[in-house]
Amino acid sequence: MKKELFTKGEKVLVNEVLNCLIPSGNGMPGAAEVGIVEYLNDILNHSIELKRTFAYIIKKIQIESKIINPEDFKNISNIKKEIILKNIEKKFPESFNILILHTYNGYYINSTVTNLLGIYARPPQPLGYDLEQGDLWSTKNVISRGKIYREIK
Amino acid sequence: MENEEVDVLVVGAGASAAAFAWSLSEKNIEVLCIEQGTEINPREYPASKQDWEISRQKDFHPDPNVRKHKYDYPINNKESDIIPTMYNGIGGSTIIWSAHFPRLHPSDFKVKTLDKIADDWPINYEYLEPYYNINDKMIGVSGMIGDPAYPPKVQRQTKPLPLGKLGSKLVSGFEKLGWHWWPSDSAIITEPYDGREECNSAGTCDIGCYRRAKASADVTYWPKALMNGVIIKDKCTVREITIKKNGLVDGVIYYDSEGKIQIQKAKIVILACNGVGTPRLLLNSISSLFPNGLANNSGLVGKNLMFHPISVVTGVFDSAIESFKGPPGCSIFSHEFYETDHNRNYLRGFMFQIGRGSGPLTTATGGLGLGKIPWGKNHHNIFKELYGNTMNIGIICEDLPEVNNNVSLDPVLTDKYGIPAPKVKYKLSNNSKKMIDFGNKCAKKLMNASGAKKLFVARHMNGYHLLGTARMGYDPEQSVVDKHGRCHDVKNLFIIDGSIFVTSGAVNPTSTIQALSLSIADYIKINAKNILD
Repeated sequence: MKKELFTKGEKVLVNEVLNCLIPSGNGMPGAAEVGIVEYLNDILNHSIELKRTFAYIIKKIQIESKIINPEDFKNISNIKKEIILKNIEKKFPESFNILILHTYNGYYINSTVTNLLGIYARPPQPLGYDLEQGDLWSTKNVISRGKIYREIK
Repeated sequence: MENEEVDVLVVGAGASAAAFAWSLSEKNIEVLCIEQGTEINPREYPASKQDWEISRQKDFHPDPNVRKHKYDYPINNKESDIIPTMYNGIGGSTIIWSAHFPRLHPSDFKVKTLDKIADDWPINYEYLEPYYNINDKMIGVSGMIGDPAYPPKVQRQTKPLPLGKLGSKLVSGFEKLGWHWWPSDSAIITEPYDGREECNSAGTCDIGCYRRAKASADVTYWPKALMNGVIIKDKCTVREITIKKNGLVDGVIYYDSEGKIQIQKAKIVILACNGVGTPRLLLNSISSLFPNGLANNSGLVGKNLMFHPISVVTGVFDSAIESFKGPPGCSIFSHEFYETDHNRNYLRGFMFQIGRGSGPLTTATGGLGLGKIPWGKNHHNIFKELYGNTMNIGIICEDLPEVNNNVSLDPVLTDKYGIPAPKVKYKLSNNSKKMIDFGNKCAKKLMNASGAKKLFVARHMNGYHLLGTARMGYDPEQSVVDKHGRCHDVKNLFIIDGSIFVTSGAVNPTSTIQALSLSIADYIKINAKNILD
């Protein structure tokens, strides 16, 4: 059974962060809207190392939020949220990159997202793809330009 | 525990081992293979799963230090400009390989004679050609004859892989410039062949081929070798090769699948552990006769490591070129700049290997060499611009042998059994840097001629080709093995993997590795009765 690793408050914060990293737009949903927080909870259940990294980065975001703005991260403007996250990215690049990687992982394997990306954004097997043979006639031009390897005697 | 002596013991079960074992088994020679990894059922590869792209970051990551699979050993690569990559299992690195299948050029065997650098091989193209042909037939190569970059070849087994919209775009660029290009020789079948299904352009060669269309060694040579009676002991890690007082090897000591020490005796020992694993094993096999590592009287075991430095120029196109379709590493190639041209400021040359794009997650996380797509409000716009609309030109540069580029034993790092891990030292040479600069310029010109609207250049950090660390040659002081892969210092010890390359050429090496392996197997078969005389 999967444990809920985020507190209620942390879950709210993480969802806000997720929607900053991948906001909705261009016909695509934001990362929070497709439940990436659940995906993160799932992978954190399988890795103590990741659990530590996420706890660390959440803490840093909370602290940075308080410095920039005494209000909760949730209630501040999108511009300020972005400033906070850019500061975190600059100060803690390694941990922040892990947050981004797993957010992208969860988002781009999500079936709602892949369905919206089009008919090809599915697991490639077993159906594969149709691919046109392309222009092989021009090989005659290549031949006509002559041999290009060095003869060895 | 001591096991019954076998005629031939092969260490490793990758591309070279499979070809070799099959060849010997055709003559009913007893062969036992010991492999540290295991087999995977192709239907269990991740390409049919929703999270298929994440496997590239984990179980199918090419770097064993990242993958950290239980069958991998760690590698100290902190002093290397290129990260050595490999896969450990039945089939070896062919499990994750792109299957681009070019041959060396005739000139690659005569580098010193032609260009006054490096060394000549003790064999030539004509010597290897019959083995290239046997290997092609066993593998099932897709491609097209008539390529003016090579001496004439026999008919390919299946027609070329489809070029797709991407390939056609690039052909138009090549033709505008009047440069050489040709549909790739690929170890991927495009029609049913030898009981295997044809490629369906899924684009997932690097995470194992679900359809067995890609000719990884586990689906080509191994089933036939096993039918002939070859035995593979998998999940077994060889610790050292043992030697008798008379200077001949007599087997290996290994850890079995339960971690118990075993002794395996053999009349002949064959090493097929790749250009990092083979020198590691030799250097770990110390005795009073060989205090500096087995077969290392020349001091060259582990030296002259070559990778093929790679630079990648990525082009972004306006129209959808559906670049996620098709084998990522195989469409067309160019040898326009392959041979030495003394008007340039470097020696030897490079190949263009055209690469395709990939799926949505790989696009977003920067797996195409473009870097991660930025987070934030522009994320979707940039994703839309790139996904399915990019292609890559890989500039695969010839690497020249240098003794300072090498594999040694790490004094601290070990694997799970406490066996010293390899330490890789490698510096990109000035010749390679100049070649990369020129290659980048040419690739940009080609992308522009093909209609790319935006370009990105990145140096690829992975070293897929592990070559040169037990080179072949005539002179025992200048080489480790002779032209038959036999160690100069130990006559019943042979090496058949990429370690024995003298120079690297500028092409993917698997076709040559397997051809060499078949030639060495032939030598052993022909001389089986008096090989120890």
